[in-house]
Amino acid sequence: MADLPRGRIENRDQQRLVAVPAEWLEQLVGHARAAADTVGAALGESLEAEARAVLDPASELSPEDVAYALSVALASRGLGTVEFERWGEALTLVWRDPPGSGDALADLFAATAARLVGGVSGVEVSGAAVGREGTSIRVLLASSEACEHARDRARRGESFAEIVAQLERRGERA
Amino acid sequence: MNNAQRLARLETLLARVVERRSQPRPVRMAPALAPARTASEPIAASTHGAPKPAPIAATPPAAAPVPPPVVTPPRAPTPPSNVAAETEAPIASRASRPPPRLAVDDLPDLDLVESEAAGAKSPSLVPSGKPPADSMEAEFEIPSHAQPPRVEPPQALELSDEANAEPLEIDRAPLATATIPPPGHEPAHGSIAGSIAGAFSAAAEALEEEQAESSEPAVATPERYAGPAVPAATLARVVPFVRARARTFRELLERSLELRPRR
Repeated sequence: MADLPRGRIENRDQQRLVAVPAEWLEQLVGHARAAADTVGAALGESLEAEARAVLDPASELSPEDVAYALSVALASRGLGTVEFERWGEALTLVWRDPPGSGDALADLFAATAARLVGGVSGVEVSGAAVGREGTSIRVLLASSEACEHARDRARRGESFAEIVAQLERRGERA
Repeated sequence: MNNAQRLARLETLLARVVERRSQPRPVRMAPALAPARTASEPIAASTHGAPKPAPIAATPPAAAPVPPPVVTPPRAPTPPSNVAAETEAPIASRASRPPPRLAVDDLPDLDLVESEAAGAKSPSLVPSGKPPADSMEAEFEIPSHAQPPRVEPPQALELSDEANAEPLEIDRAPLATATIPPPGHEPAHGSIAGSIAGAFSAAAEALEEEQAESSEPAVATPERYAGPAVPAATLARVVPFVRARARTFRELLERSLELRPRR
């Protein structure tokens, strides 16, 4: 809710929001890259209530339902929208039209997506930025071990298809 | 000039006043920052820099926002009866005589025109005691042709001089008295006052609608996005590839959590 005469923007829980330039946000995250995971998780937590507000807690959530709920929460802050992909068993979140394209911001959004997905689904999950597609950021949603592995390979320039090929289900033989 | 023409001219003036109100706002947001105007408030009552209203009567200016009147010369060359002997002479020549008592018929046709400057002083029939006789002579000289140019500026109504300062009396109500009814009162239908009030009311409503539109927050309406949209060529490189069936999001997430790096 924008209460412009009083100079306030608030969410539905009367928590204040601040509209800042996206470039400024990217610069800030770039200077505090070590804190990207912490800040991203905090952002995801703050968005969780808005995502939950459009979901039916009594029903089993489909990927489309979750994608819609997360898109509502992100779009209301001008952060873009999301959709999901499956690469084999690997589940990825594609962050469409994010407000920045830097690596630091991608790491922050990966942490945000993991926290948001975990909060909505009730399943703890990690996130790793594993590549880009145009202006979109692809985030792998998996265990912390798999995400760390994927993050390292992505920084070496490997494509996500190559990264996924290096992942296997537990109990499978290489 | 008939009532319809007067009304059209007044509406033009009103539109300019509204436009002038909107000009100082540097940004479009500014209207949303202003408190909402109630529908009953006349828009001209809060117009900054607009000329103060002046009634076309020999009384002190009233609070009603009436556009300033300006005297125009008579339509016909035939002068009023009590100034018939001075048809060719300027009115200022009467300064040495007792001031005449002018009736409405004596005055030129009163017309509602826009003041040049936004903060221009409104004309008044009350004598100020300071207008120079020369200006009266120039402004009220009755030319020989039938339609002389309009008298401007509005100070032309100062019909007095220092020696003979006496207010002019108008015997009957002026033709064009624009009054805005107080909030809660219906305007007089069929009259100029009602038409002017209607014009002000319409302009106020239009302004409110504009403010309401500009203050409406943008509502995010994202589309519902479907699931996987992966190129087939890319999928061919993915091993093993498991086709997604109708599974819940939780199931898909738990399967992804079972992945680990190959050794």
